[in-house]
Amino acid sequence: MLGRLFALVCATAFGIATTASAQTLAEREGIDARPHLSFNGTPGMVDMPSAYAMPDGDLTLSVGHFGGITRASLAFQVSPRLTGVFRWSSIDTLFDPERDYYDRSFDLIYRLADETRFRPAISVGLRDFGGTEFFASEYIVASKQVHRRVNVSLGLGWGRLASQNGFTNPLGILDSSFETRPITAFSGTQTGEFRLDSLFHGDAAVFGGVIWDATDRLTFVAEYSSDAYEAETRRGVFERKSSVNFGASYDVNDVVTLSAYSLYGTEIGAVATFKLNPKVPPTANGVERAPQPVRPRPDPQRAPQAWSTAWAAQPAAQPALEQTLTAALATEGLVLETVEFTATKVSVSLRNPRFGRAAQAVGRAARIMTAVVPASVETFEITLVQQGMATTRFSLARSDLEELEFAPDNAWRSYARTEITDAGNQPNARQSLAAPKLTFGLTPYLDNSLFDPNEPILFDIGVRARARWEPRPGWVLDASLRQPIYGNRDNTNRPSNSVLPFVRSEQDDFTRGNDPKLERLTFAHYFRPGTNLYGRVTAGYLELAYAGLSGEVLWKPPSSRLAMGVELNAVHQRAPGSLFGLGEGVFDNDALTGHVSAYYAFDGGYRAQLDVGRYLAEDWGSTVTFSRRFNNGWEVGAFATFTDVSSEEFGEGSFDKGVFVTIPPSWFVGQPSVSDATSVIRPVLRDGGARVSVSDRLYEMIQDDTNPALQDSWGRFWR
Amino acid sequence: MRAGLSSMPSTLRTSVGGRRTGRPGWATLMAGLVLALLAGCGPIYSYSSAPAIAQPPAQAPTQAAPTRPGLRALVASVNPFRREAELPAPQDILTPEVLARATTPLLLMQYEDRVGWALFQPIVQNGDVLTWLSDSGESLSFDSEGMLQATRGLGRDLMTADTAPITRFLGQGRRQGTDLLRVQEFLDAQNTVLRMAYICDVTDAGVAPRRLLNATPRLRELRETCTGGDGREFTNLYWLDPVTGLLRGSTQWVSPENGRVTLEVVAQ
Repeated sequence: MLGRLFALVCATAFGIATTASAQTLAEREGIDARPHLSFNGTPGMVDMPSAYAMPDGDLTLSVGHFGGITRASLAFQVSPRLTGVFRWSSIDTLFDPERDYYDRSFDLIYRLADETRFRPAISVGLRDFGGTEFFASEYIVASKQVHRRVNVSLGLGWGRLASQNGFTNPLGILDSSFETRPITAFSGTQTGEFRLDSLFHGDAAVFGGVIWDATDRLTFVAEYSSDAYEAETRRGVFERKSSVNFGASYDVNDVVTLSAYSLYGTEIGAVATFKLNPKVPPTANGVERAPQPVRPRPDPQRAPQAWSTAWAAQPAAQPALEQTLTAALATEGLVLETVEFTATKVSVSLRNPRFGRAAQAVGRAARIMTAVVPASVETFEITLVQQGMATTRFSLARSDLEELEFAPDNAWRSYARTEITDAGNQPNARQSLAAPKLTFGLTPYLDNSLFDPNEPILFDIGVRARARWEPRPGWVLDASLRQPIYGNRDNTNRPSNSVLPFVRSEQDDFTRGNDPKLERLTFAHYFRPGTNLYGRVTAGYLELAYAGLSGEVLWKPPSSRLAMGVELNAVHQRAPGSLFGLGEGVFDNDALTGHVSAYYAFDGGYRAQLDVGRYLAEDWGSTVTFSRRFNNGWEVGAFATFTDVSSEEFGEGSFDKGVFVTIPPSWFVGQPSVSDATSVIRPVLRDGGARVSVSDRLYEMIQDDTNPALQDSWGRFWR
Repeated sequence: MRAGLSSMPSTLRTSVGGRRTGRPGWATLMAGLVLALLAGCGPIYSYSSAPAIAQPPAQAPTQAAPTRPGLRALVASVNPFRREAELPAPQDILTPEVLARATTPLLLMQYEDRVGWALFQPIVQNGDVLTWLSDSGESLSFDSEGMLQATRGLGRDLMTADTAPITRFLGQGRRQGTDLLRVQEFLDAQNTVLRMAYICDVTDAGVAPRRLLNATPRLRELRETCTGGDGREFTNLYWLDPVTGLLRGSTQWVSPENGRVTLEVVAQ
């Protein structure tokens, strides 16, 4: 098991490592030096934290093992001050001699103060809040550089971090209730709750350590630990003889760090840390073919005939424009939907299956138009089309393109001169000129679920057949069938102990086995019900586990940071292991679910989403999602759902929550692409707060065609 | 990218098919990862129905002319999964006899810091700026004095360059100058425009034999030494005909990642 986890991690990291450039991070993007990461995958010494933070945006995976304890931590530097961590831990035979104990937890760390000449950096951290609380602890720590290559840290810990040499809580001065920590009855199978009343309560203890950067690559660390590992030592997982830990780390390259530590006087531990930053791609971007340059019009004085408007009256003009534009746009991978024209204005609508940033598609289309559209045309109107719906319209002056192609600051100036409006309140085109009606294909796939309570990695690989038929723009028949070839999905079989209808807790039954799986068979209609409004109705087999009807309306003006949506679903659970069958017995669940959603895009790529409504187990509540979306397609976020299902009814985990990472392949290969892959990691999948997963939700489809995404990536217009 | 499997580093390739005792899932996982990688890059098979209108034969808006190979290897050099191709030196291929047969002007670009060269031919003039295109899809744009204005397709490109002071300076036939402003723009990985300003001094390094592709004529070298607010320094070299003052060749800085390129029009 462990070997496999390492194998996957190593393989992934190897791929990343080989693509890392020889140039250091600092040279390339001016990213600060990275702090030493501890066994917990957060900045620190060996087992104890320091007050330093990772560079903004850093995403690290640390996998470590010592004394029967394995930890895999995914840490994300949400903002320069805030760090979020998801951790999966395994402890050999902790509660059950037959079985390892698996635990999933979240940490949050906030840097209160930056280091100055006289003041140390100060951070406060919450470990394992809202999880099982097996690792529950809080700390405040200060770190100060005392020499160019040496820094020291001193901290005060609570909870688990006060289990060694704890003393009466100094916060008792404020209120004597701080002196006792409410005891969580922890059995190893039950859940912790999201409780604030134990934070910073109970005894406190001091920890501290030293980090010495002996060379640019080699670091030595030593610490005094205040974690007694009471449960582990009592059950003989390992023996704790000393509170002093020490060790060394070596930075193999920008991506990989290997560490070895002596822990608690008896154990030797090792950690491999893999780091990447979405702001720093491994390959140069922009290696796609250069755009067609702007072709300026001839001087109207010297070549007045070229400026004649007579062409527009000729009957052959329409087919000629359609044909030349279709062919010219196809060289850039853009698909023409419609063309309309007058002698001074040409309007095109097009699909963009190639460029992840809409601005690049618009910029390339506009330059192509300068080469094929008669000189008398001064205004270009380019409308983007998604699933048959016209989304955003860009109105550009041709003379601006000619003037700004090589002008300083041309990105901002062209953005300022482009009129960006909603293309809505119009029916879909009756016919697409060049969009293929039918597409189908066969691709390999890898489907995985990470950190399942029984098995850290569950996956299956195989081939996926997809077909899409769009008889008229916006009317789409979509089918996706996958045939697993190899997987380990059979390794988990936990009969659900849920007291709720089994709407998600038996999800494993839907992915297990090597029979073909119908992932989707839907007929959908996409339409514009009005200005700034988008609509979708989908019917059929919506996802692996549910079939039914789903409808959605989204309000999203092209320049608004706020979007609102309403979604309604009437679904019935499907039968596991059957292509078309509907669920019976424990799978005989039907539900009417729906949500009102608000989306807000903050500055800096931060995104918040609030969904309020009814969930699959007919529970009512809301989901909060917070994410950071990098301007190159990366997105890292977390969500939590709170419904009227009590934590006892919910079972392990108390409430539905998780983290997700969206990775664009274009980041690795440097070529533009609209595709990306999202991995969702949930500590545990239960029945409370569960939702139907409908593909092509409108906000995800529309957001890159509207602001702020457009403006933030307008630099791509001229690429 | 479908060819990615065969062109991966041999260590990785060995792992895909290799067997390791005690780690049954290893090889499979590796294969799965590779497959996942492929999934993001290309299908095994795909079909698209014909468009509703009859398409004329795809007529590229730009006419790419036959040029020598070389640029693909150059692109491959930024692709870490590919082994750098053995690239012949340009003078071995672009002999005077070969160049004499050229029907269009040809521009040779050679990287200074890495192996790679490419041939470009002019495609569009917009105002003062002439854009040259290579057959593998890179483009370079120059103003009337031969100052590099923009690159595309090299990766981490020069998006724009404001060289008006130095262009005017050279246009006046001057040889010594200080405090000439140069502004260059790049795109970072988050598509943010990075604008870098440099203060440049021009000095005359005198007339001496200068090594060009197929000759070593006596040319005047002007050195433009630039210092940026970011602490970066670079020097552009311009070789002028001592009699006519025309630019015969240059070495110009493109961007932090691309370094300098040497440029010469090898066929008129």
